[in-house]
Amino acid sequence: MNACKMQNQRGQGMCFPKFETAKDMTVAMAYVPWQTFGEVYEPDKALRIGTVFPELNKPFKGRGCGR
Amino acid sequence: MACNMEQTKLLNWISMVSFAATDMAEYLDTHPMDNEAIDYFNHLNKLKNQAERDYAANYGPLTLSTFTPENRWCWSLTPWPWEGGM
Amino acid sequence: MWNYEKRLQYPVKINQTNPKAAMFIISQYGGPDGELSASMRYLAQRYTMPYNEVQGLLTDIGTEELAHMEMICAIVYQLTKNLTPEEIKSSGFDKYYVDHTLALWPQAAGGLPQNAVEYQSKGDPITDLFEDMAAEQKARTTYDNILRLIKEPEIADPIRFLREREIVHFQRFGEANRMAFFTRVCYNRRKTQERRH
Repeated sequence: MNACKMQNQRGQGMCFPKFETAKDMTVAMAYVPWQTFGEVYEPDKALRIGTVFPELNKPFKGRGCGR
Repeated sequence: MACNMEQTKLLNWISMVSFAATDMAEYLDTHPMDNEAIDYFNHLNKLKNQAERDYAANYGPLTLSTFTPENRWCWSLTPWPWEGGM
Repeated sequence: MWNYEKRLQYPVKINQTNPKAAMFIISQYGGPDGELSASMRYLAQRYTMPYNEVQGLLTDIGTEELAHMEMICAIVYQLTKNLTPEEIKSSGFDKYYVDHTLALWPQAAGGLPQNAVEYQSKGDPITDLFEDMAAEQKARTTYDNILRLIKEPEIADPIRFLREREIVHFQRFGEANRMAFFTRVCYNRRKTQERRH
């Protein structure tokens, strides 16, 4: 496991492993990739879109209707 | 009470920086040691607090903590946000 | 533990009257996957969540969902506040009107009242966080459906904003789930090592 140092058991100041490779991930669990801090939108664009993070901007494209 | 242009601009600015700070706060809940993110949150929070103080001084309070009534409790007497535009 | 700011998180300024739109948008107020259910779910789960970061996340997102509930109520209020008796009769809004006049009441589009059976607070961190991830996807799908039915920007813009927030919250709960899972894995490993020595 790609772990970094734990500081306490309760999680204060804890950093978490990124589980970058598939072999680190155990079965019977589901994983969302860790987001990292990078570019952010300016506040006016962020409010219009609904997030400061470009990588989370996933707009509705109007497809699909259960047909 | 009709909003003038400057008031609307300042209110929009407060909405923008407050929202960005909220989004950053939720990011920091799951990334508590991300120093770059903490710096950006602090920057946004400072802008928000200053803007709220400016708004309260010129147009009336948006929070009870920025409210310093002199002789009238006008907190509930200005329009409420669901009436439109806020 | 709450203060509020006297403004909506995203502005709602609707000038049209549209009771039909109000009747399906109200599902995001009192429906099974609506903002009120989401808020109550997260605020209920936080007490027994054993990790401070996740308690914080549940409180922060639970609070934001109350602000979203308020936006939905503002949309429904503005769409129905100027209804005439003829519009009430011809739009099908009469069934709601007879019980609530033009007031806001938390129900789904089909009439089912808001109910705690629509969400769970199970007391297991992994279970609760997967419940939350599913809730965000259900809410996102509901907003997709609303966007298929309304096109006017003054209604669609706040709805698009709310939809994007569901996607962001899904990511956050996914990260929280990894934090909870990792902490449990490390705790179990340490306990195993202690038993061996």
